[in-house]
Amino acid sequence: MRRQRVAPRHRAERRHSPLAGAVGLRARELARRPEVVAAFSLQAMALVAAVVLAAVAAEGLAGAGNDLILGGLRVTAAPGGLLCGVLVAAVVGSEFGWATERALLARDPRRLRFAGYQLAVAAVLALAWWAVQSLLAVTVAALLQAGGGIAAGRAWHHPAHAAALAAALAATLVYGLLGAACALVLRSALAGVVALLAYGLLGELVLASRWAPASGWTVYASAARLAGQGTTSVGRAVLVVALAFAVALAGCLALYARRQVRD
Amino acid sequence: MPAQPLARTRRPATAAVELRGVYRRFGRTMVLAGLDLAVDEGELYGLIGPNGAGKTTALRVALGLVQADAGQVRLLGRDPRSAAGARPRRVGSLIEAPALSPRLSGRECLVLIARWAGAPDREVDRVVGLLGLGRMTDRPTATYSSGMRQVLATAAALVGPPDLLVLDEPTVGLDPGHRRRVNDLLLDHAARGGTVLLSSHQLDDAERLCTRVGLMAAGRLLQEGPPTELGPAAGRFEITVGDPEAALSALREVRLICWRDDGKVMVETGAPYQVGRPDGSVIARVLADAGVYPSDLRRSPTLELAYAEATSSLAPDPARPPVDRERRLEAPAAEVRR
Repeated sequence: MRRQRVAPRHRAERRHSPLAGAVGLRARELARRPEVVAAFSLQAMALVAAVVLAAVAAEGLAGAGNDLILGGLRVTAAPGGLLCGVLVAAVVGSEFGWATERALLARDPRRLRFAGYQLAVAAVLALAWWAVQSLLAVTVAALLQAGGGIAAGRAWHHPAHAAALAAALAATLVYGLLGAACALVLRSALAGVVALLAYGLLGELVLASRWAPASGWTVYASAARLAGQGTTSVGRAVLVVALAFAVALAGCLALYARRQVRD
Repeated sequence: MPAQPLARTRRPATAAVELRGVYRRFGRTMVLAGLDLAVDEGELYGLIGPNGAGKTTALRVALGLVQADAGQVRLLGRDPRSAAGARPRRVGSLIEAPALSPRLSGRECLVLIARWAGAPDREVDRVVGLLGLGRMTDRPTATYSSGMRQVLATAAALVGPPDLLVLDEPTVGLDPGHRRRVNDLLLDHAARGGTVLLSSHQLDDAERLCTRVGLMAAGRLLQEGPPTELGPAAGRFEITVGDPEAALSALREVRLICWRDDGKVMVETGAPYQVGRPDGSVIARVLADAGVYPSDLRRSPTLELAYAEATSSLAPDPARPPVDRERRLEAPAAEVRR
């Protein structure tokens, strides 16, 4: 009788990997954070408002004409991805404020394992962000279009919408990784957020847009291009997004690998 | 809860923590200046010293959180920053403030540590029971008092169970009940073959718990040894007795060095010129033979005087001139009475 109760528990303990278990706990913790809930809610409200206003004004959204689903997904891709990056920077950086880093590194000194753990948490958050925002954009746009007499079956243009969904996923993951990298390297929520905003807002949206040679080489422009906006080549957009991902990943792992925990 | 043997078999006299000639500078400040420290397996070693002595930095360097500028560091026989072995090591730690996620419950924080350390989740139940945390662990840690956070962080250090505990002031902010419980757990850990390296400002705790104590100042180890053998009060006994003069004459009869201080009779047994090494039972017998029965006979606290002596040269206090110990030992009782 006793054996029947104990054995399944041991099997369950062996089943999950320790790192996956830790990431699962952090994901649960993220869902309880007011700042995470607030960021998700604000982005959702902004997205719904943009789609509804586009439907009411009949002016289209993000260059997608009367295709509200495509417009909503494009909004999710480029500005939505950047906002996700800011949220990830804040979330990953707050870990350093609580000093959990030193307790975990004292148990296991492998810096790359800790960085991988933080990046996995960032990936979970970015995926949740992409899923919620994309689902919301498609649902609200489909409902509004149905109200205007466009049936959902006809409204869904598979290749364009699927590309926009994939672009939104790529942009969310790249900006999420950039945010996590900034927070990991700078070991602070505030410094991480400021660094990402400086790069995203000042570097990509303000400076690069005023300098023609750089304008087609930003993550923001590339994500928008993958979602169907812009005139640069799709190949270049894919290259930029892939390069940004690789550079951010390699850079943050290289810099964190020899990190000293002084505070 | 029955005591569990630790996973690794202890090899006596093997250093669990070893720092040799370690230097560490932060900016212009030399925090560790050639620190030599060795903690054997199975020891309960206490680091004491004034603020800024380098105790916490020494613990950080030992754990590999901070790299030494120069010198050799070994933790459980390996470089503490090495990734060799590719699995969590059996080291529990509490360095400075407790490290807890505020939105997780206490139990979830412990589960997180257990999972990170590759320990089974049932380890959490064990440490919750050890520290008597009970239902408190169901609440988010954001609602905890500072003392409760400290207890939970100590519980997190015990998850594993670890072979080595590295604790920075583990009993600071604890109520007397939890302080006693934590101290008992440390003694139990060492008794079962585990090693404890702790830093503390609680000199009475260090004196009672530790098998060896290291006195640090200015980034170096000034003195080291069993707490009863450190400092000018090593081997000194305090006797509270109704008739101090009768006690003094009885003790002087058998050539014990003694004097009267604040209504108590002090007996020196650890001085280098002392013949033999009489202990408390000898003193009690001498007094009983003379018909003097003390209401209290105990060893003098040693670390407090050792600490004061070692640190007085670092920060001299002009209001309290240094005591001429030799003169006081030889002076008549009336002269040293305050």
